[in-house]
Amino acid sequence: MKHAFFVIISVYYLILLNPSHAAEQIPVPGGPVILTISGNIENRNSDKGAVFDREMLQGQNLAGLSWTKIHSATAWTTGKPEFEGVLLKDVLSLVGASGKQIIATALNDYSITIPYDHISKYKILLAMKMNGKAMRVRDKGPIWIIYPTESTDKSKGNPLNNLMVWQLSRLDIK
Amino acid sequence: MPKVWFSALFAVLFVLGVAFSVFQFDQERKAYNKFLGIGAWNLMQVEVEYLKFLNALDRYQLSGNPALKSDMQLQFDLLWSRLPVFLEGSESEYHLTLPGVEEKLRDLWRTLQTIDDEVAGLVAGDRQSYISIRETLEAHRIDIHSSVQTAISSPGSHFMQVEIGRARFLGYLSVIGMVLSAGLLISFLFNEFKSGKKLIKAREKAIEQAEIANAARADFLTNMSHELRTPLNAIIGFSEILQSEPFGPLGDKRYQEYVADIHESGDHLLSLINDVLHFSKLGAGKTEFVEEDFSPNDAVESALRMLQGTAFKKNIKLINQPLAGDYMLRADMRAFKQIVINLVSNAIKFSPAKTKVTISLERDDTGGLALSVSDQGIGIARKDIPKALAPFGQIANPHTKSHEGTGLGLSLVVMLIRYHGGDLTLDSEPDQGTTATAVFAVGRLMTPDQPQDETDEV
Repeated sequence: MKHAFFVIISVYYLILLNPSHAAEQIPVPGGPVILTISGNIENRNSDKGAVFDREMLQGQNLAGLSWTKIHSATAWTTGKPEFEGVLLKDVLSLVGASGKQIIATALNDYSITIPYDHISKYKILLAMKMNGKAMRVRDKGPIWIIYPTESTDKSKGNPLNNLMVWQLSRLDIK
Repeated sequence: MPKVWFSALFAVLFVLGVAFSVFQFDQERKAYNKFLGIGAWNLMQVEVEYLKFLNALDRYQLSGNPALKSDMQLQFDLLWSRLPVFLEGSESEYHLTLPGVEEKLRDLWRTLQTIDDEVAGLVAGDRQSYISIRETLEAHRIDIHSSVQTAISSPGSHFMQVEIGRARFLGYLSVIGMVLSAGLLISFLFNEFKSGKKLIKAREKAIEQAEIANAARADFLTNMSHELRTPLNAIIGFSEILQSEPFGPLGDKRYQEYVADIHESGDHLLSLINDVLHFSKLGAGKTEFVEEDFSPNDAVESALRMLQGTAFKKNIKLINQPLAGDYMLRADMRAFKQIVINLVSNAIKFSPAKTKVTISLERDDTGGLALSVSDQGIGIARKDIPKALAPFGQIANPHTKSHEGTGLGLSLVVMLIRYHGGDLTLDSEPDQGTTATAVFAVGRLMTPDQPQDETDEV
């Protein structure tokens, strides 16, 4: 009897702690939508999929998301600016995503395919601030996919450069 | 380091050079393609966003729908965001080197900053502001389009030059390395070849010098022998006259003995000098041989006649076994007789008293003429035979002191017989006697008239 109780408690906590299975309700955004995640996801808050406004993605506003800062070089900036945002991995966990490819699309409809295993291989950031300032569309915001890189010497052909989509607006999980 | 390793090293360097230059030219090709893409792509994006903004501006103005304002504003921001790409970050380098492009983009950038507030404050239907914005931007249309064309039409210039130049520089460097290593390899091999030639030359020179030295020695011996012979003739001649006592008796019998000793010693010395003279003449190639046809039997007989006295004194019997048939030999008769004399006198010299020396002429297995001289003397050990044939070579043995000589006898025979295309062989065992055989080649023996078989005792 005591044994069975222990098993039930354990299973309960396992379910609770596993984010992809946490039947967490993503709140409906109050402000303008800046990111839409569609495709193979479990948690939705709209008929388009999971949608987010700037407020939702900022810091601890949603369980499982934590505000992260990294320094990274890009081919379009000087030096190694400080980027702040949430990890792509956490966001995808939150919406219960699974698949093989992430199709990232920008505001100008530029799109690129990111292999799904990159989210565990690299600390990919959905950056919303650069050097402490929130990025506007003019500054390649509101969201910029940032791979942590040391150098962006084009002659060495950094394959990650092409994956650093700026003005990100949509993620489609396939 | 062994020479083969040098060759291998140069060859490896050469192959590495080839591999590296192929790699570099591939890099150059890739760089070319990549920068062509980046340069044109970013400028085309500017043009696309520019046209999209004008389109959004027109739609907002013409429809008068306030809902379209945010779309217009977004398009403005997107166009705005394309411009810093040309002004900072590593990618900007590629565009700024295109002729005139930087200036055109900076102009556009300034214009956007100027009309920023106007765009933000534009109200649908405000025709004057719309036309102002429209006309200000319209002025850039040709500049933007021509920038794109510049990027597309001059891929070989400017923005990729830096990278391609670097790749090309390394490529040229590797070609230079390649040529250098090939050159080193070639010059190394050439030097090897040359030093090999030098060695051959040095050897030829050494041989030449040795020949000169040999000739000089022979000349010296010839001259010395002549000089020695002149006083010797006086010694022999006058001792002969003294022996015959034509001007009265010598007196004491001991004087007779002394004179006889002087004469004998003089004779002996003369024969030694003659040997030396003859040998050095042969060695210097100064002897002239006269080839003629003669009867070998007669020649042997005449030679033996000269040796009879010596043989008689030592109580040695000379047995002549002539050739069966009237063969004629084509050779230098003096040389032939000299061969007979040398071989027979040698045999007598090394034979004890009351023994026989046999001289035989016969045709050997090949049909040539074999002259054999056999004695029953002290013999020679097999290992000493080459030494006996060498010039000045005498075999050390207990009898040596009683057989004085130059040691040139057999060497002379060897030289003479070799001149005639034949050879001398010695067959001997210690204390078993020696047989010396000189063979004249088959071509030198002329057809016989009739067979003859006889043994003469001389």
